Amino acid sequence: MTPVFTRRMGRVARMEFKLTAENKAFVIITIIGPFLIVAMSVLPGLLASRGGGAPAFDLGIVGGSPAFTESMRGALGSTSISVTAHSDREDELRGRLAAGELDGYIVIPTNVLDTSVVRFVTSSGPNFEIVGTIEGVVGSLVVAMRLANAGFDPGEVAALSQRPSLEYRRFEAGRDDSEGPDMMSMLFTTLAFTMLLYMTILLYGQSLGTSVLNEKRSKMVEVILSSISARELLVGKILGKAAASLLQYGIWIVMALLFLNIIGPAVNVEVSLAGGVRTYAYLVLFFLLAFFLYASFYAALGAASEDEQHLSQLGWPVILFLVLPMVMIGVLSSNPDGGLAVGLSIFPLTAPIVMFQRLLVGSPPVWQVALSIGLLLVTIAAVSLMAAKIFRIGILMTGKRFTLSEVTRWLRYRE
Amino acid sequence: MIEVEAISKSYGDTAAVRDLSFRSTPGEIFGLLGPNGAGKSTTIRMIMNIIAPDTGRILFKGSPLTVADKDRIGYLPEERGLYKKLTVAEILRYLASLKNVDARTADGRIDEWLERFGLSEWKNKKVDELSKGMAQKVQLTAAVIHDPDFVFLDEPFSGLDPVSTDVLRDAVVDLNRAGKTVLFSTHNMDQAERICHSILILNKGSELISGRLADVKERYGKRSVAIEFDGDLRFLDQHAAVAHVIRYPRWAEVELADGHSADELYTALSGRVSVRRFEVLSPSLHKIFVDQLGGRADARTPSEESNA
Repeated sequence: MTPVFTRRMGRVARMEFKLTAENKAFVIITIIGPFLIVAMSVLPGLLASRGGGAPAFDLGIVGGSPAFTESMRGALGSTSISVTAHSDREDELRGRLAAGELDGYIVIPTNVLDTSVVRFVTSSGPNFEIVGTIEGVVGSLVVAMRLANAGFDPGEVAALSQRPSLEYRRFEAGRDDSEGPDMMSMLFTTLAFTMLLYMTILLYGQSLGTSVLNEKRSKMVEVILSSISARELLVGKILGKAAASLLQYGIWIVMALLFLNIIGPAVNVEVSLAGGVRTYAYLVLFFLLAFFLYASFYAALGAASEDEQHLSQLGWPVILFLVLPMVMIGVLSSNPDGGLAVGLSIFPLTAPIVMFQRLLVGSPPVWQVALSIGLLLVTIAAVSLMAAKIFRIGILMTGKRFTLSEVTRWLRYRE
Repeated sequence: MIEVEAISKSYGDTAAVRDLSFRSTPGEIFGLLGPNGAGKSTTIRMIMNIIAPDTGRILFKGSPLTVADKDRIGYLPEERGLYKKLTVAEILRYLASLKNVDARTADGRIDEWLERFGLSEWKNKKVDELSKGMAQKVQLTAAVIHDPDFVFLDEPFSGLDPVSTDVLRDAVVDLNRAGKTVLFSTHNMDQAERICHSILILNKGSELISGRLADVKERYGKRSVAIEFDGDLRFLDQHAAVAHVIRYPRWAEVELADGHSADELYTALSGRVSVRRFEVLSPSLHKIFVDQLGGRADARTPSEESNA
């Protein structure tokens, strides 16, 4: 039995790191990555803060009093909608709509105070923001008119009927309640980070599988095994790949933090990130756990395959467990403490992604987090032992496309 | 000293190696010969401890091979390749480091060997720019970069042009002169005949012939004549002085029948074909191998019968 770590594993790891980091795809992903992260974490904030990103809209009004038209014009003043025409005849505005002078018009019926429907005709597509704005403004004007008719002061009624809004605060044991970001941007951030975790696990898992396969296909493996043991080769490759992925994560996180804390404020873009630095810490922790788990699977599969196509055939059960939490992300993030989420966050194959997600949106009990991580470590140990065995046998097998059941049979081989 | 004791290895129902025993003496060139599929590579892989024998054992200097021993062995596998994206120097440095050779020593030896093979200007070129012959020279360099005492070469000359074959063969002979024990496999008996001290011929996983080359020739030798000629030599098949012919279009090896002399053969030839060389031989390994396989029908298979 060779020692747990040998210098030769270090040398294999260094070579794996070099082969990974010098790869063009790695460089490109490293450069593009932070822009993606920043875009994903900042975009919702930007969208929300801009508010009126809608294009200018020329609105006509058919019917209604000149005073109503003036009120509409005033109420829409701060939006992208401007009232540019008024007529008592609908066909006149219809003509102007056809000529492109207007984007749409509303028809105010004479009995507007009794009606419950105002017709809106537009040539543009259903822009929810415009429809919503017009609906809101027309609605409050008509209601105000009705209140005035009934002898109420519309201002007073508005003040009386004002509903309090909920301010969202996030509870974490032993900390001051943090001011939560709004629900929308929080869900978005969660989705973005979970997606990032999922993609990097998949990317690095498959990249290790391909790299192991390449040892076989480049026919280097036998020369290498004449110097070191199969286990040294396996562990070295996994460590080298882990180092390369950590370098990439490091670059991404430094760049993202720079943007959030220095560049963002400097160019006056308000950005916030759910959970802040803690998010990044969880991201790296669960990435590493998932990496060692899935890298072991992929190393074994890479050793057992003939070519890339064969590798992806053998890899489908592995991908299934990775995709499962992504498919269920809606259910899981809307009910992060439900039975399904708790179960999947403890089941080792889905734990990294689901537990990370739960930590982002809620605060799961410490024992669940500890159990999840503990089970993951045990599983990693078990899977890597199995992987080492399959690796040792598969790495010298060429010329046959083994099925998954044939490969698992190797586990019973006597050494 | 490598001692192989009664090793066997099967893949499924196919026996790759059956009850094989031999030993190679320090300082000699040992040839493991046999046709494709005879079990040569399986045997070398078992000696390298890359695969384990089903039964039997292999001793290296009197005890089973350890990881430390691997540093004293250089290995050129039959299935060989190089990472295509690396330069020649990078890959040789890497393989040297796996053998625990320090960087400076490795660099010195890389320069030495590349110069010997005329590949100095390829040192910093990517591997995928190399021709097959060049790559094979780089692979041999990788096998000896740690200055091993033992060198195991699996089909070192396969697929090479004659010039590269000579260069590589000279390198192997020089390694042996420098005191290294060389064990190599080949299906090419002529190559083995030129450089081996001892041989073992495998057929279908079992030993067919083994011993020191000189002894083998003595033991299995029959009187033979090599003829280089122009013309049609087919009439010899029926000639009384001839026991057996291995015949190529312009070259033949003739085994004389008992009681007949080379002179009779020479006389028979004159006037029928134009003889460019006539040499009384000790039999070639190829001939011995073919004879031992038995059956003359079998023996004809390697020769090209068409004289047309």
